[in-house]
Parts: sequence; C-alpha cells; structure tokens
Amino acid sequence: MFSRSVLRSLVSDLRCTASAAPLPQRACLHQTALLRASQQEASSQSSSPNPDTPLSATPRAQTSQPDAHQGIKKQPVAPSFDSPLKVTKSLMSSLPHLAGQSPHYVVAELHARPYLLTEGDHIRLPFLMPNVKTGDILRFNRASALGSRDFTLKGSQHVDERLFECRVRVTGVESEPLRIKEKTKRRQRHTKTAKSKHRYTIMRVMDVRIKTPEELLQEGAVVVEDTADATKIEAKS
Amino acid sequence: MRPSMRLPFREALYVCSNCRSEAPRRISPLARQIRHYASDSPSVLERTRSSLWKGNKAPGPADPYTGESQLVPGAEKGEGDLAAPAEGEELQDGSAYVQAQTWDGLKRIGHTKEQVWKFNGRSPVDEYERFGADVTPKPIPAAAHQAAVEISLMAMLGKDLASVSEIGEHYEQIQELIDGCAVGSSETQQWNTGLRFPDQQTMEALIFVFNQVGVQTEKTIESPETFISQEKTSAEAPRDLSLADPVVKFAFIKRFSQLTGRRIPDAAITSSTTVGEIIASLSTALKEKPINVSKKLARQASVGALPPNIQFSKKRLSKGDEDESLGRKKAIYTELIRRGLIVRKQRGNKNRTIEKATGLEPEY
Amino acid sequence: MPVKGIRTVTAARNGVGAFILQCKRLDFHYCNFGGSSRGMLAFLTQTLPRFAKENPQIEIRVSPRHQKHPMIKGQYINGNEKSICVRNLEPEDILKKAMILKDASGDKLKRTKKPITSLNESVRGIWSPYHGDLRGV
Repeated sequence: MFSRSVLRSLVSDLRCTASAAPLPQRACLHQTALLRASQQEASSQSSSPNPDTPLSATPRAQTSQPDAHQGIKKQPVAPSFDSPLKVTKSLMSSLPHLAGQSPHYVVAELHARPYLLTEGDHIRLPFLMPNVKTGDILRFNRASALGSRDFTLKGSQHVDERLFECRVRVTGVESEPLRIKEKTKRRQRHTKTAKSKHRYTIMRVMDVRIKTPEELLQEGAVVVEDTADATKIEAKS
Repeated sequence: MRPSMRLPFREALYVCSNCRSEAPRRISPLARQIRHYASDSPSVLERTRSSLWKGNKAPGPADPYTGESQLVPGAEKGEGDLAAPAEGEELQDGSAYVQAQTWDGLKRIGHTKEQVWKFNGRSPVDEYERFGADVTPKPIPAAAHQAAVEISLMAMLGKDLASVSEIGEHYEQIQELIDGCAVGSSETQQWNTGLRFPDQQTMEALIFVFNQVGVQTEKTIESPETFISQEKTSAEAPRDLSLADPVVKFAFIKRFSQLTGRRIPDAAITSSTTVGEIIASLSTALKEKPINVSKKLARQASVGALPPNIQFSKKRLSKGDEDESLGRKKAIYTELIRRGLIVRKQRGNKNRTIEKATGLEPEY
Repeated sequence: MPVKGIRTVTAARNGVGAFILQCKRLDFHYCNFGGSSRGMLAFLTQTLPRFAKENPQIEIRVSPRHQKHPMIKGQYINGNEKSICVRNLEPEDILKKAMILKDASGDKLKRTKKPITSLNESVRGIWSPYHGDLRGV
C-alpha cells in the first residue's frame, strides 16, 4: 500500500514537471536493455525507497528527467520560444468550456496535410518517415483546429503549440502489396513492367489534450486584449 | 515348349516345381537319349558345342554357365556319389539335434576367401589414420626449422634420414633443445656438418635421443667442439639449404609435411631444389572454410558475449521441436502411444527412444 | 445531452498506453555449405549479437536448413508469419531485411486510401436535421 501511494505521488510529480518544463518534442521509448537498466537504476537511486517498483510504472517518456535519456544518443530538440504565450481575454474565458468537454479532436498538420485525430486513432502516413524507430514518441505541434463536441478552437493560421498536447507513437512500418504496372508503347511488343512497393510509417495517437487556463498561466502565459485576428473558440451552432 | 527342347534336369540350373514333380512320371525323350548313349559319352551341351565349332577343339571352358545343378540333388545322387549320407540318416544320428532359430553360430557356406576377412569384422589393425594425424600442425617457419635440424642430426649420425618421421611429436624438453639448435647458413650443401648446438649438454642429449630413432646405434661424434657455437643464430632454417640429394629431399619433405599438416604439391616437390623454394610454394593461402555458425555462436555464448534472447541449434528444427517448445509434444506422444500408433523402444544410449510401429497391429 | 449507450468491450489499441512490439520471434535459417548463405553466415556471427542486444523483446532462433537458401522468418503476436529469402545478400542488406520483419505489424499487406482509422465515435456527433438553429440560405 505504502509503495503504491509513493508511486502515485511520484507519477503525479512527474506529470507536473512534464507539463511545466519545455517538453521534449520527440522522445524515444525504445526499451533497450541498456536503457531499461539505466532507468531502473535512476529510479531506484533517485526516488524510491521501494525497490520493487514494477516495470510498467517506470517513468514514461514524458518525464523530463535527464537520467531517463542517458541511453539514447539522439536527443530531441527542445522548442525555443522568444516570447511568452499571449492569450486573449475572451479565449481565456471560454477555454475552460472547451478543455472541460472530454473527447477532443485535433486537426494536426504534417507536411501541409491535415489529419483529424482523436485519442487512440491509428495513422498510416502516406510516406515513410525518416529517422524514426519503432516505439518512438512524437509530438505533433502544428494544428489548425482543436475541438470537442460543442466547441472549436480555430487558429488564425495555426494554433499555438503551447495550447495543446498531441502525442503519437510510431508502431512500425507497413508496406503495400506489390503493384505492377505494365508500360506499353504503340506498335511494339515490348512491355515494361514497373513495380512499386511503398513503405509507410504507422502510428497510434497516444493522447490529445487541451490545456486548461490554469496550466497556461502556470507556464507563463500572458493575457492580452482582444484583437481581430486572434485565435477564437466558436460554439457549435 | 516342346518337351524335346527342354534341358535335361542335370543341365538346368533351375527347375520349376511343376517340372520337378513331373520328372519321375514321364521319361523325357532327352533322358531316353542319355540312356541311349554310354555313360562316358559327352553330354548334350558338349555335343552341341563341338558341332557348332566343327571339331573337338572348341575354345574356352567346356560349359561356363551351367555348373552342377543344386536344385535336384537327388537325381544325381542316385547315380553318382553314393557315399554321401542322406538327410534323414543325419537327423537320426544326432540325437541332440536342435533346430536353429537364428543363423548365429552356424557354419557359413557360400562365400569366397576374401569375404572371410569381412566376416571377421573390424580389428584395431584396420583403423586408418592420416599421415601426420598425431602431430599438432606447426607454422611453416617453425616446421621447416625443426625438420632441418632433425635431418641434419640424422645425417650427422649417419642414419636413415626418412626414419625421423617415425617420431611424431617430441617431448617438451627435447622440443626446446631442438628449438635451441640452428642450421648454419655457411654450409648449405652439406647436411651432416651444418648443425650448430648451443652447448655441449644439448648436443649430448640430442645425440642420445636421436640414436634411439629407427635402428638403434651408439655412434659418437668426433671433434664435437666444431658443432658448438655460442653465437645466437637465427631460429629459421636457411633458405638456400640444398635439397639436391633425393634422399635428403624425400626425408625433408616427408617430415615437413608431417609437421605442418599440409600436403605439398607434386609440382613444388619436383621443381624445388632448396628449402626456400618449398616454403615459398606453401605460401599460397588455403581455401577459406565456411564459418561454422553453431560453433562460433557457442564460443561467444561461453564467453558471455551473446544476449540471452538468442537460441541456436546444430540441427534443423523440426515439427517435433516446435511441438516441444509449445509444450504439446508430451501430450501428442502420450496419446499416440495410448492408441498404439507408436511403440516405445528401449535403445542403448541413443536419443531417440520412440519409433514408428512397423506392424499394423496395436501393441499393448 | 444525448443519452449514451453502454460502451462496447475495449478493443486492443497497442501503443496508446503500453507499446508492445508485434514481432515476437525471428528465425534465422542458413546452410553451412551453400554459397548463397555466405553473407548470412557472416551476419549471424558478427551482426546478429548486436541486433539481438538492441531488441531484447524478440526471441531469436538460429538453425541450419541444409541445401536451402538462407531465410529469415518472423512470427507475430497475431499468429501470422512472414518470411524473407536472403540469398546472396551481404550482411548489411540482411540487417535491413531483419529490420523490415521487426518493424512489421504482422498484418496482411493491404492497400488503404485513408490515412486514419478510428475506433472512436465521431467527436462532434452525427448531424441531425431536428437539432440546432435554422439557417437561411
């Protein structure tokens, strides 16, 4: 019982730190033996008086603990912002309604293509994403719209990435069945067969979350007066 | 077939049961013919043969194909050898006659002399061992040096040079002594004077040892001081040591091949006249052997360099292995045995104790 | 607020919480003497230990198959099996093939046109003519 409560507090701590700190855009949860060992070591050294922490409860990739990433060579690039997030008063007032209404969707953009995502969706990108490995966690930071059943937050161009969190996990690479196209020219018996078998990255949406005003203020958002082209929340009519 | 065309019984190698039963009832015209001729006159085949060859001087053996017919021995026994006892008499004589169930212990008949060797089975004498199998292979320079030293020593003692190869591998102490010696590079033509020992003791020991090789002798060396040199000579055999003498060449190549464990090509043997040329002929790389994966992986596993999720096997994995890994092999086999489709056999120390039943009848 | 029915049983969505690699076993088959296995032999002795160390969740079995081309077989959690023949390939190429099997989901290859498949019901609900404001054209 004691260990469980300790664990819970630990996890909640981690969540707080995770949301407070600048988030790693891409974190690798590749469970290599080395990494796992280092994680276990780190957790047993730093935090817990309970050495029997189950493996599933080891901090996930959201943690900003530097120890957890020792085994990974390539570190994700942390986003750098020159100015704090500016939120208009009207947005601040209506944001709790949007954030409170539970299932959310996000229209995330990747290479200028919109993907309407909800939690648990299965994505098969129309291309093979380079430099990702199976098990990697990516964060989509460009969205044109966020929404719930009755409210929609539309960006003037894009919604600021500090307003929401959308994480996806790379679950593997799939390929299509071999396509054979016969190319012929007129008055010739020769046929050229063109073969293609593309490979696609497959992903799973881990979470879609819209931050509450309190979280935004905690992260250092600045409330400003309304302007014409600011992001707005529209109610469903 | 008309009866007249039939071969008489005594000529035919095989007579079918029908003919055999018919034989006493009906006397064939041929038999009548035989009776007609005197008993010492030639047989039908012999007469046909002589008529074919037009004269009495027919070439070759009289009748290469037909021997004495063994299938109807009774027919001949009546006329011929009366001394041989009939089968029934033999049975009555031996009162302790037991009918044999197997052929073990019975007298073997119907084999040639050469086959006797085969029946006797393997004996330790028949074991074959490759030439040089009792020697751990040495690198080429070391082997050349050792062969040169040994043959020089044998030449000094005036013994049969090729008998060095009888030694095989030396004891460690003697090997060290041999390694300490050197063949001088100044006298490359004379094998019996080129050897240099580091000290007197070594020389005496080696001469004692090599006197035992082959035919034992008690030869001593005159003026032993000349063979001792304090200066450190190179541990390699001089490359221009002459192999012009065929006796020396044969002995050297035999010993060299034994020590290196490699076959020396004939072309190299005939063309080379010095030790250096022989060594040069062996410098070509041996054909690469394919990697033995299971051996290599086993070696890595023994060091601990292999992660625990790798399994490897020497043999091909079969359906049975798959069943075993899934844990259902036991269930399958108990059920098969229960139904009598498989009979459990006890064999010595072989792994397979289960064999498919040959008979259709289930055994319980 | 519309009345919501009782939700159906949860469907497995690998990767939402925990992520389990779909490939559970890789079988490497080789021939000791065949020339087409030359690259495979080198791969098994040199590259494979590192590959296995990087993927501890995959069981790796190495076994010979005489007089056959070398082959990699992948077993997946959904019970499927995928195999790739790696005859005459160099060790680096064989590693690529092994990675293909490792990353595959084990499903049959399909051609899909939509990038997203969702088990969730629509977030914004189904449009109804009886609800909402009237709108003029």
